[in-house]
Amino acid sequence: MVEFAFVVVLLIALLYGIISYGLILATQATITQAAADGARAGIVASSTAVSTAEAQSGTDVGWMNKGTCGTASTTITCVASEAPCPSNANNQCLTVTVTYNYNSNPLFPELPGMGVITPSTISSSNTLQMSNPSS
Amino acid sequence: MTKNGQSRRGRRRDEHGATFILVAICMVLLLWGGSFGVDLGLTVVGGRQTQALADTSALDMARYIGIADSPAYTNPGASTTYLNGKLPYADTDNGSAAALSQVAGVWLNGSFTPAGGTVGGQVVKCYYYTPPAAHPCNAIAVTASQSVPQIFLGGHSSVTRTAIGAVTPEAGFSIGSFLASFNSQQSTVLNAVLGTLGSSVNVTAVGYQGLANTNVTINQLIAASAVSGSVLTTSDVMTTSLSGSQWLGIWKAAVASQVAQLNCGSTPTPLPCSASTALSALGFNSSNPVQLCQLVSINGSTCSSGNLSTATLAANLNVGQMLTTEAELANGTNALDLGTSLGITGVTDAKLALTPIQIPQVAFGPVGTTASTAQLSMDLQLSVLGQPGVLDIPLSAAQGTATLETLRCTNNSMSVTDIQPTTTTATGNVTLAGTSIATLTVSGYSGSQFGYGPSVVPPTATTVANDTNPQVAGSNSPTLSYSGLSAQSPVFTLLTSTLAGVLGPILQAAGVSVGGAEVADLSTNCGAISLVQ
Repeated sequence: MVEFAFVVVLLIALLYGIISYGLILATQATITQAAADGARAGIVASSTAVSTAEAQSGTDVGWMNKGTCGTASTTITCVASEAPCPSNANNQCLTVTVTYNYNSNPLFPELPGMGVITPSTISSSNTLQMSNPSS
Repeated sequence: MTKNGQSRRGRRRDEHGATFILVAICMVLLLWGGSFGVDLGLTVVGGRQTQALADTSALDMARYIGIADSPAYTNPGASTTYLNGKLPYADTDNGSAAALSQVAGVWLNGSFTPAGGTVGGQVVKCYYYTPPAAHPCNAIAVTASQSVPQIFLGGHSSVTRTAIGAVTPEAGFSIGSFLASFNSQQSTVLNAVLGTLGSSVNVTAVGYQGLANTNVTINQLIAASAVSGSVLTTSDVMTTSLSGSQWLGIWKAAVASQVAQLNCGSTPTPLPCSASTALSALGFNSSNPVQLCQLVSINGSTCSSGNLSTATLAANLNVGQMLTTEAELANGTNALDLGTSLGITGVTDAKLALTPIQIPQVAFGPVGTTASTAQLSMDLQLSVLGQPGVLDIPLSAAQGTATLETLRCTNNSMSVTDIQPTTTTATGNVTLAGTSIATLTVSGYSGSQFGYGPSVVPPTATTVANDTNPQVAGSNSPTLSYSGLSAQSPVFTLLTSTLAGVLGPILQAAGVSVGGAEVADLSTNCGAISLVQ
């Protein structure tokens, strides 16, 4: 029984880690999708591109139930901005960045010390051209 | 202590540590499985990121297709070099090191044919040549590859994803009643309709002609709202509730901004000038709040959903149609007392009820998009000299529709647009003093599609005058046909002869396109892009 108790603790810790890490990977995929979806929605919107992009990203991350995703959020921020494209300043780009401060409010409670191997933030950014180029 | 008891204790002692050994063996497998799972997860996430980059690049690159087949690139090599030069943009913008490659081609009916392939019997060429093919190069497939580190198993896994971005040109268009000219009966009906929003209205046929042929874009409406004191924005223009008089002020300001660029003293008088005069004669005092989304649907937008895209803000709204719909909605099922103003021989009194069933739809979208007129039910009640009871003619009309059949862009400019109109057929059961005497059918229009070249889009005063945009079909006097008609004169004559020239125009004035259609190609956006695969 004593041996089994040791082993069970080890196995549960392993299982806990698998679940935690699986959720982190799912979160990363969601954040990537949210940034891309937001940028795509934004470039077809009118002067509401920024708010449309942020709203779309917020919808994508909604399943994680971490409150409204916005610029003022403390857990997940969805920030869109318009600026000249880094690749060509003659084009206008829309950048959407979604950031999840994972350590502050993880999807699955972390075991003591687990914060060392889990990322403190999960982030993804997507930049799309908004304007039609002239050349 | 029995022999057997000693034996049991011995067996227990022998098993000490066995669990650890078993777990140690299993742990190797478990840890290997776990680390394999983590690395697999990383590959999946890496695949998602690669797909996102391929999507981003495909959307970006689709913007360059129209340039790659412009006159500056007259051979495949030059065109490909140009596109390859733009390929790293997505990497630069997104801080990625993924390897990108592209193939331009044609996206048609849900499949992609790369340059060199054959579509519709023609070889796909993605560079400038004349004459342009029926299916010019309109899509680009981008493949992104990158390696994902395997942190436990070591090494890297390679992930490759492809996306196809396409130019999906959009056109804004509308269909309206055939109102090439207004007669006094139509003016009478519209005066009664618009009178429900305020004081009595007395707009001339010329004024209605101007209103029916004056369009205001949503952008112009927003700009005009600032002038008239009710500030609308792109995000709330469809849903802001304003009174009838506030909306009238905005329409007046929007039309006035068009009139400011015209010479109203010229002959013939520009239509917006006539519209402006007509609007000045209106005095709406209805305090009922109205939202634009209650009067028109743009690409299926409703009052609860439907953000307008940038392109949609260029969609035109017909001033006459908007005012008529507003009045019809405000009036509901109430009958308008027209008295003898219709001037129908032998009719001593006329009442007309117009009930909107569905609001008009302005369309802005790719091939396949449909615009439609309002759907109305009408009830015309006539008191005929010497006849007992009322001659009741209820008509329910479906919507007239216009469907965008063809829209081709060459070198980022529209080359061909075809729109197919189909107008409604209205039917109703005619009764006299409550007894059914006939079933009436007012024929619709179903003819060939209308073609619009680049020189007539958007419509101008010249294209309106030349009937090249909007284009019209049908007539002001649609055919009335009766089945099972059992009536004696004067009702028989009234139905078969006199009403023939009255019913159609009344329906058309109310916004139902029986008998004829007027289809306007309002704008084209050849720069619209989308991710098609």
